[in-house]
Amino acid sequence: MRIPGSLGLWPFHLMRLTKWIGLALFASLFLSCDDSVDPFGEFVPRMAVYSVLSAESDTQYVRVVRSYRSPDDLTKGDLAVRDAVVEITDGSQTVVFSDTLLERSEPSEFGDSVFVYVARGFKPVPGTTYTLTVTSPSAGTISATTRVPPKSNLSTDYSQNVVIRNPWSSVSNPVVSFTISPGASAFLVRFRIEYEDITPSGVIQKAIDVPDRLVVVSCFQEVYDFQFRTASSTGGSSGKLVKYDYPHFSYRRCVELVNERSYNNRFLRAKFTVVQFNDEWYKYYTSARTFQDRFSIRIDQPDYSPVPGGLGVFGGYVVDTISVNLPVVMQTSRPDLWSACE
Amino acid sequence: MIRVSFLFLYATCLFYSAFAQQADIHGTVSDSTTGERIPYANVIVLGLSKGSAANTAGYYRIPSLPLGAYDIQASAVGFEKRTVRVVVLDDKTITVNFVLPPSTVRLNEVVVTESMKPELLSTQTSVHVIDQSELKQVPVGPQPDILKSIQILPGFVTTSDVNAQFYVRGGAGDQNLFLLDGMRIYNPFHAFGLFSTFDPDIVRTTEVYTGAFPSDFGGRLSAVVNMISRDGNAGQFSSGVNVNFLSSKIQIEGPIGNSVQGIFTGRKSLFSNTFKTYLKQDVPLSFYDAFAKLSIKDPSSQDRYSVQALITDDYLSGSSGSDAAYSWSTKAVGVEGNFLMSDRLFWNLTLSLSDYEARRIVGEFGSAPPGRSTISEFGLRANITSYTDSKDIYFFGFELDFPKAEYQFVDRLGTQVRLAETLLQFSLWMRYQLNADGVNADLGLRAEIGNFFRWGDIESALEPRASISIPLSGQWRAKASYGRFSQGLITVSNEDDILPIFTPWIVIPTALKPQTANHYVLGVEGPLTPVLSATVQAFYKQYPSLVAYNRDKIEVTDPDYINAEGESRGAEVLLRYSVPFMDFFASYTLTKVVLAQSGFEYPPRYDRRHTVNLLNVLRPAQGLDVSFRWEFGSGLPFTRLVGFYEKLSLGDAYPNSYVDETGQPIPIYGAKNGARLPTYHRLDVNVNYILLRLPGLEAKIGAGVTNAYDRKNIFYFDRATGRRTNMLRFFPTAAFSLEFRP
Repeated sequence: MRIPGSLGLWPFHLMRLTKWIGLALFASLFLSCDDSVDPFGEFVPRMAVYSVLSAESDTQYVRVVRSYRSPDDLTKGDLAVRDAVVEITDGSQTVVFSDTLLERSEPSEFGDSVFVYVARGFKPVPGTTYTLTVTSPSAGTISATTRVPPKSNLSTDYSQNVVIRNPWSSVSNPVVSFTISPGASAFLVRFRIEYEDITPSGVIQKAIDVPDRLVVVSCFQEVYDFQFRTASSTGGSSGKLVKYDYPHFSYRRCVELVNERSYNNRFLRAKFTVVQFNDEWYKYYTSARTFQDRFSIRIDQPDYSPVPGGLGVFGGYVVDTISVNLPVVMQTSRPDLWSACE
Repeated sequence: MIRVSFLFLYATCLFYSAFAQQADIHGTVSDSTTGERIPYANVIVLGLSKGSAANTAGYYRIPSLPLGAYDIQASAVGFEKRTVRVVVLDDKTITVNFVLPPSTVRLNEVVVTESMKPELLSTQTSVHVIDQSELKQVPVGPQPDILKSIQILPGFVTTSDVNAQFYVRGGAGDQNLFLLDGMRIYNPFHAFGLFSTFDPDIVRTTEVYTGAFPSDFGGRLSAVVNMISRDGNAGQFSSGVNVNFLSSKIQIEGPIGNSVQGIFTGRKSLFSNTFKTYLKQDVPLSFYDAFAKLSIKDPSSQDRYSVQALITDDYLSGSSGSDAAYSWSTKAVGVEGNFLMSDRLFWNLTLSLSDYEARRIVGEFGSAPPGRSTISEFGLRANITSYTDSKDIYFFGFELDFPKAEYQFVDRLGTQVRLAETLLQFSLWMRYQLNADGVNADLGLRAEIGNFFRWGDIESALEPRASISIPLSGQWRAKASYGRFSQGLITVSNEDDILPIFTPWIVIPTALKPQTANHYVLGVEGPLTPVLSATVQAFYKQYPSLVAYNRDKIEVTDPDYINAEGESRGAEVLLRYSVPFMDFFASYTLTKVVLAQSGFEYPPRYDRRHTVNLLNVLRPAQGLDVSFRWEFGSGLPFTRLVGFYEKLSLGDAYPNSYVDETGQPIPIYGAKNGARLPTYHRLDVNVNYILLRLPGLEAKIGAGVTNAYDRKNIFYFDRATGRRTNMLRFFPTAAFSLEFRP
């Protein structure tokens, strides 16, 4: 009896099978010959706008840049969209921006001027909603809306004023308090010492920021690490009273620095500034700085924009300040410095 | 429920003992040359429709034979049959241990083997059992490899040649459970996936469940690879060495006294040396692994105990000072006992300790942050088989695991972050396997008590499982399966990584739900001709809860991960043809996977629509075999880059700081995974020949070609430049092995 498929006998169904397998292999080789792949999709030019309305300034800026196909195409100077019509309206009044060139404050490798759209004499009203429209014959049209947060109230009580005027009189920390404005998603508190540096060529207005934290890196060499706070979320707590204090050691060290840097100076004032940002600004800011999330275990970078159909940000902020006048001369007390190192 | 089952059993036994004289026949089936137990051997009573299949410990039991004389026959793939005459005189259980000699004539082993394992395969829909002999037939490159070999089975998708990690029926890579003698192995790969950490010579049998697995397995959503190691040769001492382009290996096994046998294997990579010497390429990769096992058998009973240990270590050094180096290591030790607790109660008890560590080591100028992921685990697992008077079998047991997952890393702010948590994985299960008029059913329930205590969620704590198999005409059967699964331990890495190298494990936080899945499988299988069999299955896998990147994370307070959903559906066809001089195996898988979060749907990067695997093993002469493997996969998804723009960070957030800021170039991506890479295909050819076979000595040589027609399969491309990197090109290999059997 013949066993199907036994050695030396090539059964008919196996021949058929082999034929089909061979055909399939042959066909698939040819079918899949095209192994080219384009990692780049079709390039569709897009616009990115950057504009943050400031209720404390009467000059507003809008930067408009275009996207580009690949880093090889990159010529930074060509990225600005120069043919745009830029308008901002609050529904009743429309402000048309004009273009200008700004010098960079810190010239980098791209040391050229920055092409921006500017509106002078336009001071946004806190609590008002504005719509930005950018229309470019070469890059299209985009529109975005934002609301500038209302103003807040700042206060610092009399005892704090004493501490600020005479930092060595107490170990209390300078404190500022304020209420969170409706619609504010984040705030940033600054504490600055403003002074005049009297030089042979004239009087120069200067300021120094007091850090949130001053870490002594090396007592022996008096090396400090100045750490400044970035914008913090309000957590949506509109109307909440916030008290914000600065370590007295940081403040004292800054007073000393003024004296060390300038042999002939006049102290003017200590100024608390509270900047409250709206939601569009804050979401963009945090997404652009996701790596600041100390607890994140992710390594990707999200790309968020509140501009519908576009890129970038259209946001707003409001600034509140309160100042304490300082004595013209502020003496320092060196021994206290060393206590931090003990 | 278990107590009820016991009462039922007890009552049944009383009934039968009162009205009839019947006896059980039980025993083990072993290999005559090595003394090793043979799993899944068939033991039948000739002339009666009674029989049993040995379990993975080689133990069988035929219950309730009336008084009389019977011919009991044992058979197993690759072994001669043996028949023993047994006379049942009273109701005392009779022990019959079979010792089967290996068959001298090769039968249709490779591709029809699965039909010889009815105990497991007649009911389950998505299971494959691979023996060592089958494993070595699959050409997977320079050396045999378990995890590469099983990828020819339908349902498997891989994303690259150099990555043995796989995705089963649309599941993610961390949804597969790897067990070696009951020990959970968290990183079963060497060299980020080039090989598995299991020497194929230590593995006796591998069960692969691609879905709807029974209730004695849990903790993973997609698949189970359950490996059972060899005990070593109980008959004589033997040793062997093997050297190929990629690794060298030594193996020693043999008896230690009358009832103890042992096996030891050790492998060490040779990549760096061979590539540097012959190809002038620097491959900064090295690994070693070692496995040792001691088994004790009680000759007077069916009991068997073993202790086994696995050590693996890998190191990938950075090619420059700015590249990170990586290391992975696994240390696992287990104690296993297989014994009869009472007459019809067979216990399998496993106690294991394992320690896994992965490190990302950053050099002086490194850009990636350093990281360390560890899992320390203690596990106790009991699987109890309760035999009844009929063919029906109850299985029940428990699993108690305490994996402590720790992930330490330095974030971009330089802060050292440490996440450490111990997950209580306590589960109870029961299964009932019944056979009535040819209809087989396997019904089970798994209770994940640990899930309930952690997440308070009853839905993810109760996992029903069911499989049913109905005879059709001829030998054809229709099958259906359902199962619910959950997972509390996941890996976190960038889900868009082309080659995930560092994949830390974390316990899913209580703020999120555990991952869950429902599997539905329907299929038919049977012979098309006496030598050609076919299996067709359709599957639908629903993921009510997955843990995915939070695409909408914007604020610092937004969670990194959120619960997402998903589904995978597809069909598989498996053809097996076998004649004495040739085996042919063909599988086709159609899959579509979609993940969804917050209304956004996208295919994951392992969503391969079509996968074809063809395997042909020819044996033209004694001692010579030639194998061909051809693999085809349609293009994998990827995300296209559609441009760049200059992004401003708003600096220090002070007013107007953005006006003259110099932005950073940021890529603009198209639809997530919206494009497809070119198709993948590759032909591998292997030739093996027994050069010399003398008493006590065997020498083998082998040669092979990977990617025989030098197909340029894309591995990845640089997003910024578009520069393409291909996978393995034409790559010839050779191997030589010597085995001594004094």
